[in-house]
Amino acid sequence: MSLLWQVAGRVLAALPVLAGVVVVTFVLTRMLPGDPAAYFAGPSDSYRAIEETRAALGLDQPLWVQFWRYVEALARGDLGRSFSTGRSVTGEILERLPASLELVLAAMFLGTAIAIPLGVLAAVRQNGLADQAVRVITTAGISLPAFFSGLMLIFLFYYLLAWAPPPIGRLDSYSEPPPRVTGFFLIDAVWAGDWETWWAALGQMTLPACSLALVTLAPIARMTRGAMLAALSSDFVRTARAAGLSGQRVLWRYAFPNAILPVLTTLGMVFSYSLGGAVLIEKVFAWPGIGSFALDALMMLDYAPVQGFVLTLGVLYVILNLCVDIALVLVDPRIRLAG
Amino acid sequence: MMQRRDLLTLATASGVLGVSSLKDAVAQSRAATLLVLVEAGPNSLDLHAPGANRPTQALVWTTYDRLMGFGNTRASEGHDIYDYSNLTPELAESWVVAPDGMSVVFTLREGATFHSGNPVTAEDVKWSLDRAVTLPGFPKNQMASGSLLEPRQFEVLDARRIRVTYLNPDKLLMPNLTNAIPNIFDSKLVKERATAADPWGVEFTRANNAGGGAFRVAAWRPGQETILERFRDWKGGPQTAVQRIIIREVPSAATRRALIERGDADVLADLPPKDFSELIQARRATVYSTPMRNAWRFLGMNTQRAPFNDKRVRQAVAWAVPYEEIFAAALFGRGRKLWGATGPAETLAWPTPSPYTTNVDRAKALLAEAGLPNGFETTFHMDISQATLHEPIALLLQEGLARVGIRITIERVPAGQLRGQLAQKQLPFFVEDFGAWFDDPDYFFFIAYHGTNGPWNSANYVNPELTALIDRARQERESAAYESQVRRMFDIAFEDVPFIPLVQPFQDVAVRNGTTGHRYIFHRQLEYRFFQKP
Repeated sequence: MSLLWQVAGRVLAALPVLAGVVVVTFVLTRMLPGDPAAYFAGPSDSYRAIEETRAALGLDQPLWVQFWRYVEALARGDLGRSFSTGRSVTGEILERLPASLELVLAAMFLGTAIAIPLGVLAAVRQNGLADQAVRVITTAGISLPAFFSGLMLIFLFYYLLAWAPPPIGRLDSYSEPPPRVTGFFLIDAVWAGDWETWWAALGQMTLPACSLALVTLAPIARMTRGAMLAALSSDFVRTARAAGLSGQRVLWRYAFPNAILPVLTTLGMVFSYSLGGAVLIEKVFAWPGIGSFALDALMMLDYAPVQGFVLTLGVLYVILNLCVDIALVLVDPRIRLAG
Repeated sequence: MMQRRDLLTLATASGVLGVSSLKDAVAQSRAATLLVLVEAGPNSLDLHAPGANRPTQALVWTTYDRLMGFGNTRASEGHDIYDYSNLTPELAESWVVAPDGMSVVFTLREGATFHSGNPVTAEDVKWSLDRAVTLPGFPKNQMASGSLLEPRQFEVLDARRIRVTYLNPDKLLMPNLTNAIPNIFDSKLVKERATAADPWGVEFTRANNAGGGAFRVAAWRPGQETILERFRDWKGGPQTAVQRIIIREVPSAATRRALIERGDADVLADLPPKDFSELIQARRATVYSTPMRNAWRFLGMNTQRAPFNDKRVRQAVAWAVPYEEIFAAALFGRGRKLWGATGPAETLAWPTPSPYTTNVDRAKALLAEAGLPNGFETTFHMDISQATLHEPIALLLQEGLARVGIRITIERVPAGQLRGQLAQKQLPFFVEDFGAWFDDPDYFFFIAYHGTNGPWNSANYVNPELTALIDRARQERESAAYESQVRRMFDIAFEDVPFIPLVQPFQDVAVRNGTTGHRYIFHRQLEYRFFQKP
């Protein structure tokens, strides 16, 4: 079976999962205690106002009618409308997803670039000074809440030292975003040839990306270390060493590629986690991502954005898992994509 | 750093002002821009849209005009505050009340236009007021509180004159033509966008401005920022000092505070009380504090649910609340104390301090009298989004009530859930904030204590004597009679104590040192129009 067919099989297998997500999020949001009509009726002083608001929001219809309308719209790629702003959830998510992706990718890049060498170093010098240092760093990364490290970075680099720009979102208040192509400011600015905006966007992203990188760093470094230890103590490495191959060559040519498999899987997990879990960092840095969008909506019982967010993450997880699995196949031909 | 948007405005600005270098021009552009930080921004450009939030009130107040505005006076705290008793011209240059007091004729300003350039006519005014009394939800209900119920109450006399007719001598009619609901819309523009399903064009106006206020909306990115540009042809008042207002949403209070202290923002209003008390001490920003008119933070009890259906139990709770601890450790002194009155209220202004203080013995005695000598257990609800404020209140209350044997379990719930459950009177005991737009005490009582038992009467409290008093006071024209009615209301409120007042919160507004022009206004959001940068 060719890789293409296997991929198609996986995509088909994901469809029931996504259908489940649609049903479950619909039911769960409706099961939340409280009444969106009462909330969105605002400061009105009568029950008539609440009932009128309920009708305006379409919540006076039976549940199955609401569900049918939701599914019908979904079939057209329409995730519904926010009660709060009246705007299309599809549009909002498309606008905010690149902000989240850009931040998470930057953090992952940074985190991986530091964590993998750290992990390898810790494995090579097991129980040495480097290993202890890595242990301290990863423990700190796991135990410090991301928003706390974010606030500390702001305090140090913005408030005290004034090295970082105001932590006020993707660009400072006096700049316009680059013309939208991908929604990734760093890419769109290059596309427009606007290096000033590129530097500004990079500056805004540095602190939040560092805070998030601290979180992602720990599991990647730990996993790299563990996998490297296993690989270094395996028979083929011992054989390679006995055959007289140089230490560097054994490390990078034989041990590392074998250790990379579990690391790739971890990367996938960390990425998915960060995408939804970066919400506190988004809040601290006023980053207009999908996490804070969904959280705000949840607090207001604004159903459509919550459902849209969960569904979007569901789709992303499916795609991401697929990508990780394909990468695994490419790295290790013994592995096959199963349905 | 030079950006396109700056360049665009500057190209014109430097032409007009003869600015020599681009660098100066950038500095000038920033000097004319007011950067306001908010926790959450407007979720709509039209307060008539369903679900429009509180920040929308401040926005439409800036981007739309009303017939009238409120005058200005000096608060005892030393800064400007709106004058509820003094209505001033805005779109109307004058008005004449009929001799019988049952109608009023407004004359519009000559030459006033909307942002679109369309002239403001009496037809626009009628269409807008018709819309306000017709659209369901907040608009219709707010207008109804001033006995503005039907389109036939608004009659066009000629292009510049319109008559508003009273259905009864309701003193709240004029204030209800002067709040954030009766905004005057560019009816020609909105009608073009209206559809059969949406005859008042709400879908258009919630995403687009169609007014003629001091500022027009240049950009709106919900959840991120709103940018307002000065409307050069504004006739509703003197030309505003700033050319552009950027309302940027920064959810984290710690970040907002860092920005104002570093001088990277000009104005901010929402911070926890602790931050304001520290800002005031550090003097790194100027803080204006105004006790919010007709507003309070309170504990509510469901008066139709045991054990709170017994007045003595409610009084016992009121005697057991650790007021001073809450004021110092949860509210950091940011408000006016609403307990410990030793005599009758000094003025008719509401809220006024209750006679309760912390007195464990009296609380225990009342509980014993009510047959609960060992206290009782109940749940206590608070809003998660207000956790910085309400969590310490809840914890101190838990500790204080335990001293008299009342054991509370704290439930932290999202705002949407809390409001829904309160409106349906499902919660036994809770903390909430509430404020009314108008200063009249009977208006506050009408919303919170009236026997129609509306959604804001979250204590589920019905007292026929109080209800009759509230109804009578609304129409009362004799000031001595009004005073005795209001004083009786206060007495009943404290005797029956469905709500235990804690504090009249301050509206705290921090501005960068040198920025002036803050004005407290009835909707308790920022009044954007009068700020000036140094």
